[in-house]
Amino acid sequence: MGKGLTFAVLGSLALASLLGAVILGPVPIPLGESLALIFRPDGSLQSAIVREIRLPRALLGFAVGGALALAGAALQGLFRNPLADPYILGIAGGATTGAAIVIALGLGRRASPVALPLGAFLGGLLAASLVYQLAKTRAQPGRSTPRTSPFSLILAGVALGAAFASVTSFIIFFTAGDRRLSEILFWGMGSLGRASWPYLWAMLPVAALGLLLLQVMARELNALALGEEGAQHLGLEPEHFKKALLGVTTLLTSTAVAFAGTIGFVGLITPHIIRLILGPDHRSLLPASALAGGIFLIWADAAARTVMRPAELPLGVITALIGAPFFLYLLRTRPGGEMR
Amino acid sequence: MKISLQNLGFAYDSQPVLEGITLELGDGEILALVGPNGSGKSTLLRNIAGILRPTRGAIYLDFKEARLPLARLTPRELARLLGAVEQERHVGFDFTVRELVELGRLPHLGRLERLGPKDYDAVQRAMELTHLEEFAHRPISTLSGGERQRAFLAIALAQEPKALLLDEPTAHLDINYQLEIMEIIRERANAGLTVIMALHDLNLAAHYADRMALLHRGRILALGRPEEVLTPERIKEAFGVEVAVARSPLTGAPQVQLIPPVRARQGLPRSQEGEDARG
Repeated sequence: MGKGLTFAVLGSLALASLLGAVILGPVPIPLGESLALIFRPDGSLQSAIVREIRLPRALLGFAVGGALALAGAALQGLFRNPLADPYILGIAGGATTGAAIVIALGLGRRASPVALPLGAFLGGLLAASLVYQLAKTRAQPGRSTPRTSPFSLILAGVALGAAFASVTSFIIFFTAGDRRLSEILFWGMGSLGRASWPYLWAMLPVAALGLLLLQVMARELNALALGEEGAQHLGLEPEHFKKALLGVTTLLTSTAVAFAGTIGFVGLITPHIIRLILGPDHRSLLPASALAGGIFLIWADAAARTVMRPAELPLGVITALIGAPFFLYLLRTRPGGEMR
Repeated sequence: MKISLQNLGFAYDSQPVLEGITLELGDGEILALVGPNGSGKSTLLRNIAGILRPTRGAIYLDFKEARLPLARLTPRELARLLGAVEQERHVGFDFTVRELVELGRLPHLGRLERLGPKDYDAVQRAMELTHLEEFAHRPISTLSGGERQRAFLAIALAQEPKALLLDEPTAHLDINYQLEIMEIIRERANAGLTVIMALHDLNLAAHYADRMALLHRGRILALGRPEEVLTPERIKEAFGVEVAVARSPLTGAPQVQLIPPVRARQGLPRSQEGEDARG
């Protein structure tokens, strides 16, 4: 499929998905009425449903899915590995621990809308920066800067992820039998149920800024496909570049996790599919992944809300349920898949 | 562009890898770095390419009447003067040949600047010089080893550099591809490009290099024209094997012939050696 056509399709799908998520629900509200209520609220119940519940939730899903797919695409490029995902630097583990601490302290959802996302955000940020520091080798006399090999980053991410998981388990152990326990567990499985406009005003700018910054780095990300030394021969400074890219992806992932919990597979699968359609050029891969990730999460959320109505399934259950088999399918049907 | 190395030394953690490397290379000259594994060929190339910083001595690039100390150049400035292909390059994703060759323009472009007519010309020319026109839209994974190596060479040529640094450009290639690569390199050198390449094939090096540097334990054991460098004594010192050196009857280039140790012990049948064999 051509690039122009792909973007046209993705753009229309994104718009249709956003509108669909606003119109559909236990109380269907027709398109015309929904649009009218978005721009001219009339104080009715319908108006509140559209403006305060459905629209923020759809937009948050779009932004979170987009941010995760974007971060995944960038990290896969950086590590030259299509198996990298946004949580590779231990962000999920750190964020879950942060959220668990906040909930265990009794500052969960009910107490404050700010404490939980803030705790998760800081936990994610802490984990990623620890991983980066741990993976950094000391400066060598011959090298101009200390190096961080992708390999040691991944190892440090795994090790630190385990450490954070043990802290989280410890907290869970002490909240056992408590209502806080289910809150921690539910948070860990991801949800857009907390969507609200204040959340959006934090999430949307971060997603947009991330897209912008990564788009500027896209060509250098392409050069990195030649390996660090190959990229260096083209005038790139991989250490600076890596630091900048890890910074942006950490911000994207931590913010997404802060507002929606840890949602798996979006960041892993979406760039994969887009790469199959558009090829590996990051200049189109990054924005297309962002759009596709956003669309995917809107529909995954719609499924989470409707499959077992009136109960709401955790979003992570749906994304993993769709993502894991699809991922296995990709692994098995694409020999030499590491090239793609 | 002239490249000068002055008493260059390099050490990893005070473990010396290169010592006292001094050499000068002129416009359009091909220098082949030869020597056993671990003799410092790749390390030397990486020092000249700015990947590693020499721990002693200095490297100068003489270009347009100016003497530029390599240590003072930014990576981007350096990439406009030097094109390089490291050993065993592996491309992480399945880009097309054309997409890869366009990457060669990066050092000439601002962060958000698009490729202009000048850049497209350079890309087109690099593809022509490496005979890759028909492969332009092929994914790199579908190319053979020789074609892939040509694509890497094209990336470096698209940089429009004044010098080329190549680490084993013919490794793992069949002889037809080896010759193809070397012919492209020779042609570029004739057009004025200065070339330094590490080669493990002494005979190929003898055919194509203007000068050779034989490295042994991080030092230059011999530097000069191929016939000056490739002597049985020097090769024995560097590689620890007995060889005979003959002259190619067709090109006159020295050609190293291996003598299996068991034959060396038995003594060579002198009568079968050519007149100009110096074994």
